[in-house]
Amino acid sequence: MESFKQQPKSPEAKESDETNEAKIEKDFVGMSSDKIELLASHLMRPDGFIKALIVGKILTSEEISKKIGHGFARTHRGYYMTFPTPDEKNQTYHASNDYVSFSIGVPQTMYTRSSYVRAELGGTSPGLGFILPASGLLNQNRVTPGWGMFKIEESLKEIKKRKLMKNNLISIAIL
Amino acid sequence: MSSKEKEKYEWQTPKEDFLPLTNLARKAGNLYGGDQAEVNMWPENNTLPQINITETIILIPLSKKEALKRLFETKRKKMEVYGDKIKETYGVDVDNISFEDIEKRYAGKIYWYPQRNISLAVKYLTTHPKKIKEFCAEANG
Repeated sequence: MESFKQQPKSPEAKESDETNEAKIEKDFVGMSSDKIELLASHLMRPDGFIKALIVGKILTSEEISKKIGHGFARTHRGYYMTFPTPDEKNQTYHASNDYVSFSIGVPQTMYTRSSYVRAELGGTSPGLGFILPASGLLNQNRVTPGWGMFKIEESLKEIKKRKLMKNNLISIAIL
Repeated sequence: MSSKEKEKYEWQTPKEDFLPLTNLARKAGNLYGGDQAEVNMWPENNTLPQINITETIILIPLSKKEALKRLFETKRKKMEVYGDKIKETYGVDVDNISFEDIEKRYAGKIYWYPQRNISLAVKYLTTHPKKIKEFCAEANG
């Protein structure tokens, strides 16, 4: 007699909430806005991250250039363009920033992609950075939006589509 | 609102609409970590912006703790040439700081995240505000 095969457990049943990727992704999209706390993140490459931990502050590249030295850190734009060594001329040309940028909602993944980042931390690039609640940050007068790029039209269509689908399923269930 | 107006709204999103629209994109599955939802902190009264690390939650992958510790020492040594300026401006003695000192300085402020990448770590914390409060309580003493 053929025995019944045990059904595999869902991924959500196997792991703790903290590492369950399927559940994290599902919650992130599915939870209502009043149940979550949007975060502002500032990611860094390993070099800048360690320097920030030591100095104790997230600084603009302009302040670093003026107060510590041009060779101490590179701007994110100048990171590759001033290879191998930033100097006064090329650092200024490639945008010595007088502002600090944050990504709201999810981190900008460009700081986890380069081969240099992967090499420094050995093989993979999971990402290093600093976060804080987005609402508190946006309440500050000196903080202004750079750009949204929220795909507003697409996002509205997608949500409308899901609502319609949900309503249809409810109607079918009632029938 | 026309498509052109919507496009303008994407580039020049008013501050008061920024978080509601972030939530809209989040719920539609359109928040993906590329060039979007960026805000900037600007100079104020001719003073450049700076953020104390203790006012933030520090995200470090748990799996990379030892690698980061090794890299820390390499980078610290390279910083020694700037040691005097750093000490004079920010009061930090680069010559005599260890990774353990850093761990003590930011005790309760580091989320050694167990997730596969920082994006998942941020998404996890976003949906667990109580966990965020634990780190913020440490920050407020």
